[in-house]
Amino acid sequence: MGGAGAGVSALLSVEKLNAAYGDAQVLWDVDLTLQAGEIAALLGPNGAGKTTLLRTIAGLLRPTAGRIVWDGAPLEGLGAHRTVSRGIALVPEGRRLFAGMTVTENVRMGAYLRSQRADVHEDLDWIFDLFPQLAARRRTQAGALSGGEQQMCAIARGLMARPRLLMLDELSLGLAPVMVDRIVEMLRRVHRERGTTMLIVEQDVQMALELASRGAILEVGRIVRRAEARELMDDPRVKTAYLGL
Amino acid sequence: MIAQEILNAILIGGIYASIGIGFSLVYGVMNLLNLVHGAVIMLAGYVTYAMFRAWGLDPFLSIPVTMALFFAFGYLVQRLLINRILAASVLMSLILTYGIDLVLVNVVLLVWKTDLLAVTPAYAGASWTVGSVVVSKVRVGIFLVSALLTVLMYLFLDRTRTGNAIKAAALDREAAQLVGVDTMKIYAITYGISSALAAASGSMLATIYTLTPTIDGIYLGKAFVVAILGGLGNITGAVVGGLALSFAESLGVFFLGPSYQEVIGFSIFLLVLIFRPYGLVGRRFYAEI
Repeated sequence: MGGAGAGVSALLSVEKLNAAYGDAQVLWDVDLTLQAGEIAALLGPNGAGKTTLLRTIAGLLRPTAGRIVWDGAPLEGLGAHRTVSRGIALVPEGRRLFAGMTVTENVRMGAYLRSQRADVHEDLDWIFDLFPQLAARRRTQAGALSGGEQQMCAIARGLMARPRLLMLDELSLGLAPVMVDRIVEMLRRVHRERGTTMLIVEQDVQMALELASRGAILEVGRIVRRAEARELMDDPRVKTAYLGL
Repeated sequence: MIAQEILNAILIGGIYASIGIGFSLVYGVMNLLNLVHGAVIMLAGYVTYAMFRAWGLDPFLSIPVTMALFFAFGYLVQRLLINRILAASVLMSLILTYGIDLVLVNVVLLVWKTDLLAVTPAYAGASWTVGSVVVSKVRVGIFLVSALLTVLMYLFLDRTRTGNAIKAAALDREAAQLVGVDTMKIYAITYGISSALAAASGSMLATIYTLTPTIDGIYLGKAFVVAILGGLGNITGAVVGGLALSFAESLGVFFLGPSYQEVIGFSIFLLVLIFRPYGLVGRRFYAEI
């Protein structure tokens, strides 16, 4: 994860991005690049704009200025439904499942834009192999799942789009540590088997830096630090500010 | 003649349900109280009348025509007008849909004036007699078509890709966009379907009720009451609501007299709003349709 222009082969490059909710500006000249196949973590305190950055990349929010270049083509202003078709999936904060639909229906909705039925079926098998706990509850309404199962279902739905970039917003929020471990293990497996690029936003900094290879810190809408995950983990300032050590 | 009243209630309940389903669907998917619903039912009735007069087209055969016509009308109204104000306050959408309602009423006044009109196919008065009960053939036909449309609507929402996208957009708009649903297009399709259902009802109702340019308000009232009885946005509920309203009306007319028909419907509407604002049929998750 580097600044603008770091590496020609960047899969995603965000350049001088500004975003606002009405008159309240949230992001100020944010630069960020992701290399294909890497896992990067976006850290920072509450209200720093992490979720806003993910929402802007996903196309839910139109930037007020700046560029988002994806695989060599501009992405900004495309709208969320077209952004997914380009290969970017967001697992939103709070899971946002279709509560009245079953687990299978939710997961299948993730493949809404895909027309190859055989491929979708294959992926469905892969997903349920990845999450045996979810497979056991296929016919349960998503709203009746436990928090951990809901998170698994949300990730499964995101993966069904067969994204090249999977963005995960606060996946550990409200989950038991054992459940978080299980989900992280399964994300590692996805990364190993599919080589999916991931951008994770996390409060659980320890977990994020163990999973990611690089990290960036966002404070009050600006990127203030970019480094290797290991380096951030050993940094005394990061330790006191985010790890509570 | 309580048996006669119960039969009438069931037969009319079918069409009340299909009026309510369209209205409820639009509310469930985009939180829109669609004040145009009654006017579409009315206008479809006039179109049916015009085709009956001009070409002798049977009102039941005109259903596919009015449905196609009003699907296109609804799709365009949502795409070009309502989609623009969805993000604004509820008041704006009420003003807009009331405005469209006024336009349609004035189209009717311009084209058909204020004469009382009726669609009268040869079989209009035909009936079977079972014991002491008279079974109107037209009403049986109306019930069957309404039931068929309701079943098709269920299957469409449950089994098709577009139907699932409509459900997803109703449950969580942003999450639907995140899986690739073009919600603005889905809203237009939803409004189109709702209008098509209203049009089918309008074509059929023209065979049993006289057409007047003020009947839009009465039909809108029915749609509203049925949808509230079933729980706004709940399609299964709308079926229950349709039957509940027609039973209440029929029994009310039987025990109290015909002048109480509307009073009874709206009294129940108020009672439900006070005691069971989520409708007679409960839902587990919000916006489940």
